[in-house]
Amino acid sequence: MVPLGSKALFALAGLGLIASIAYGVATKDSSATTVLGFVAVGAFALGVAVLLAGADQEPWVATDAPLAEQPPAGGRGLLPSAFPLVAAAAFGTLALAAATNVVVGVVGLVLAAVAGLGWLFQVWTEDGTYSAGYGLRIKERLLLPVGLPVGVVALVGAIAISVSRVFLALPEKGTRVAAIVIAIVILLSAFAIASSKRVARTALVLLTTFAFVAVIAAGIAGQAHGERSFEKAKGIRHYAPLPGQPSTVAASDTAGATGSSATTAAPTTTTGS
Amino acid sequence: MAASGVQLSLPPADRAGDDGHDPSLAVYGVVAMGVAAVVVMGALMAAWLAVEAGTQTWPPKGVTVQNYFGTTLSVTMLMSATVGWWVLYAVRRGDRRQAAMALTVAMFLELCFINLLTYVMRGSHLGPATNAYGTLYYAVNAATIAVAASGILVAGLTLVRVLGGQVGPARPQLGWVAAWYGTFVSLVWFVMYTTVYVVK
Repeated sequence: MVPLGSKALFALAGLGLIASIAYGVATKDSSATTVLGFVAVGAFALGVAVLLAGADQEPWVATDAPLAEQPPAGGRGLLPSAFPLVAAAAFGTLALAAATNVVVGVVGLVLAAVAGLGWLFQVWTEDGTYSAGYGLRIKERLLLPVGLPVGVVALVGAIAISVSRVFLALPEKGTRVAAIVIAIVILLSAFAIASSKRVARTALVLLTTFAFVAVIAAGIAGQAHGERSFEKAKGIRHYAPLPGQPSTVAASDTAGATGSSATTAAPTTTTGS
Repeated sequence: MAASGVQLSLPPADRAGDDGHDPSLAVYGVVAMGVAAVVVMGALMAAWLAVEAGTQTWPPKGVTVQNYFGTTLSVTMLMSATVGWWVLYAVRRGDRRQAAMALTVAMFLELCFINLLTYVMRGSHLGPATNAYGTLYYAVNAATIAVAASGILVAGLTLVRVLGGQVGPARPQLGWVAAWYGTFVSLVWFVMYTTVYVVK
């Protein structure tokens, strides 16, 4: 029996096809004909899919069915997932990036990675074949050997890039002060953590997270502020003149306080005999 | 052992039929997504035709459409779609190593496709703000690249679950997903090919 959904989609396909042909014949407008034609084909394909899908009903299992034919028992229930929403936000951000700039694109990619990995992890752990022992094995054999080095490199890279943005934004003397202060804070924090036996793990995680977020935020602020102006060297050329061409070197390099410029002769090129 | 209400609320994706042929909700979702992608590309083709009809010189002077690239991209997509069905073949036979290899090849081919398409885009020196042709050329290419990238994503996720032993003859749903989505990615390309290289 053809379900109502398929009937509606087939009707839409038929009407779309008729409209496409009629509109094309009447107006010779190929664009509208194409749109209507694609709608008709799409509706027909979805109608066939709905027809083959069948009713979405719970499976019936006989009470005396063999154990292997029964659904798994003892696992946790399925959790509602926020990852489709995160994925939608990621794709929206990526679409926005096409009209804005690369920073928005990077944010979209990060969101997409979070959605993809989180969604995969949730689906993975909800699978019937998943168990705590299997999860531990994957963690020890795959996640820690691969994820730990990659995570550390990413963490160090993020901190280095963020701090460098701050240093570039600050004035020259401020950069020195900031570098010394950051180094002292890290040293004292590490000393305090190493010497104390009463630092709770949660507090430590919160402090570290706060410090990391603060560094990233400072880096973003530094990037937004822009770099300070740097002095540019003038008149210094680090290459030799081409054969046969004179090279004028700036006064600061050759004439010193006289302020005049000097012209150096190019070396003579000897060609054979 | 009686099944509890929580267990019975498993989504259809986890309910393979006894014969292992039940494509499940995930497959129909992917089919719907693929159909939507093809229709979107059809709408872009219609926009292309509409702008072409209102423009005197189309494509603009200086733009040369080289069919060599179109043919190479088409062959790549055909190979990718075929490999997608190879994945399903291997999954239904329970050959995990072959399925993983096929998925890797599918991802590689789609990556090659994106690589060549971006190369052609760069070589054309057309941007979204160049002219009307550039706007539409950029749009159809970007849409095709996005669909191909999603194809890599689908194949990658399937590969992870194949390697994890969560896909096999008893539960071949993701094999069907990989096969159908690869086919729809190819269809999207062929709509674009017809637009840019045949209709011009």
